[in-house]
Amino acid sequence: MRPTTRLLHTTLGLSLCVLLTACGEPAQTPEERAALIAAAETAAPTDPTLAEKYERACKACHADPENAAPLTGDVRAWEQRLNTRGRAGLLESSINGFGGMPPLGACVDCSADDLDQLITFMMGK
Amino acid sequence: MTLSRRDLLIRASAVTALAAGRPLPGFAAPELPPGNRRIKWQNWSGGQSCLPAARLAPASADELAGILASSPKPIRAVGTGHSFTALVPTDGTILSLDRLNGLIEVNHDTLEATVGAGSKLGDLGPLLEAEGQALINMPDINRQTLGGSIATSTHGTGETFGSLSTFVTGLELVTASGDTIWCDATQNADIFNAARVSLGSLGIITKIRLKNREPHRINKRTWVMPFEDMMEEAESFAKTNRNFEFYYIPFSGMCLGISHNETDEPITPRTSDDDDDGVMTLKALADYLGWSPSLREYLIKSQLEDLPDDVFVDTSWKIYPSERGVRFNEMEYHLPRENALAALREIREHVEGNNLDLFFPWEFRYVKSDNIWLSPFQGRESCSIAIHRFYEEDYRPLFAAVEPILQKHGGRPHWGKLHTLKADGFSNLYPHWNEFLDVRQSLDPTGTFLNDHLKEVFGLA
Repeated sequence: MRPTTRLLHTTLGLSLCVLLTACGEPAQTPEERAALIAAAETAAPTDPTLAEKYERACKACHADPENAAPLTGDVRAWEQRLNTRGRAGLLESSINGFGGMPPLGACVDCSADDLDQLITFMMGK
Repeated sequence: MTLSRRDLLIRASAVTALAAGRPLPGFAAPELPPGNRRIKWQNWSGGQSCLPAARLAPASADELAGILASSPKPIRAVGTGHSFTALVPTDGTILSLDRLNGLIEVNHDTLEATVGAGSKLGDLGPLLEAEGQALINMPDINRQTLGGSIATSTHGTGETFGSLSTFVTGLELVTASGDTIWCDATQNADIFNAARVSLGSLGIITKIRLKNREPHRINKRTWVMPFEDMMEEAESFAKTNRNFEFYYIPFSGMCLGISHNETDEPITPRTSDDDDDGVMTLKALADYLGWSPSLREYLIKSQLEDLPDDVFVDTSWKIYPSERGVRFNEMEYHLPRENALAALREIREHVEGNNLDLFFPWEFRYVKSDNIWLSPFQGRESCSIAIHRFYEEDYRPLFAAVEPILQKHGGRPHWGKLHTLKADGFSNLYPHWNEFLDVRQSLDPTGTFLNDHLKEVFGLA
């Protein structure tokens, strides 16, 4: 499904959209953003087993600035999600999938502990 | 309280409670490290799930052979869970090919490349480009693995392009007995004809050789057009554009046309392609104005009809895929091209005439015929009609209303999208059905790769 219906969103039902566009993302300076992207592109867990799983399952989206997923190490973006869903909720999101992210974060062989550790790493903790 | 757009999406996508981690009877405990709870597998939409005894990702052919010999059965290969049908659920072993990915061999003379079946379509773009190659055509999601894509005859659009399975010129299959078989048009040709679209039922496909082309840039144009005008001009658009597809926005009388054409123009910055916002706006309109189809149509139509075209240019592998943040369940049928526009019109009359509850746009695409035994495009030029339903809503009433129309017009269901067809229906639709069943029986006589869904599909339940 790829309808480019953002055309519709852009123009349609402005009164509805007022409710929907008061987006909560705090502003980042271009320099801050560039630094976050650069850091996400090179970040990796120190544990080699975890690093291998991060590399093949998580990195494609969480190091891609064009993706809706929060960047690895973007503490502010992760805190927003943490405040909304809680730590346990983030783990459940990774197990069940969330938005465009497939269940198990596309890491079919990850255990719950693996997913938990990967989230901790990506949060920059 | 002010709701942010993201808040709304988060609420709309709120996760459901996990199924209790109670072991299923008759299977050994999973081999998980101590301290780990047992967790389920489910597909992207959440419509299919299971609690397998094992979830494994072999890193080599030897490791794979060991798994086939000793792991709980049935063994089902999984990609990224983008199939809506029950192709994956098993009480036995879920097998990911995630670690069997990347380029294995490149032939610069023939523009072919052999890649691991676990390679994701999105990862193939830059890998192939570095070798002076590109996929011939792409679907509109790039998260799938190549192995999963060809298993279900995943496709893009364009009257001169078949599904991804048609770009396969050879593949390696590891059978239930642990044997490794290479097949192509001349070597094990029957297996090749069966395996290019085989639902993961013949064995584990580990390597795939693809016919590619040179890297290229694409100009993508999106425009708005009234439904009746689109009915008149769709065939012409299909003939005059490299890729053409359109969406109908239900209860609007309006379509969105999308074309892709090769270009030498410079790359233009891609504006936000957040289709999800548009989909959620349509949902809000359906929620608030569903009681008045005419008002809903007036609002959508009046805002859309004067919109300028949306145009940008980028490398092919960047321009075809889009984000999918709003989850849904989907039914898609592939119809003989000559019947498809009439079928779409009939669906519209039925859905809107009965004010059926839905808001997701419907997708209409063109696919070239092929001669792969279980390809839904086998032997006929085709158009695909896809109907979507928000993942939190019960899709069954809508799909039950639409499916008879799609079947009446000669449709074959997409293997990965929801349908109710059984073995007798398939045997009537596929001339090579029995040949496929013979190959499957010879390669997997004990049903190592058959879950309940496949047993029903093949008439073995």
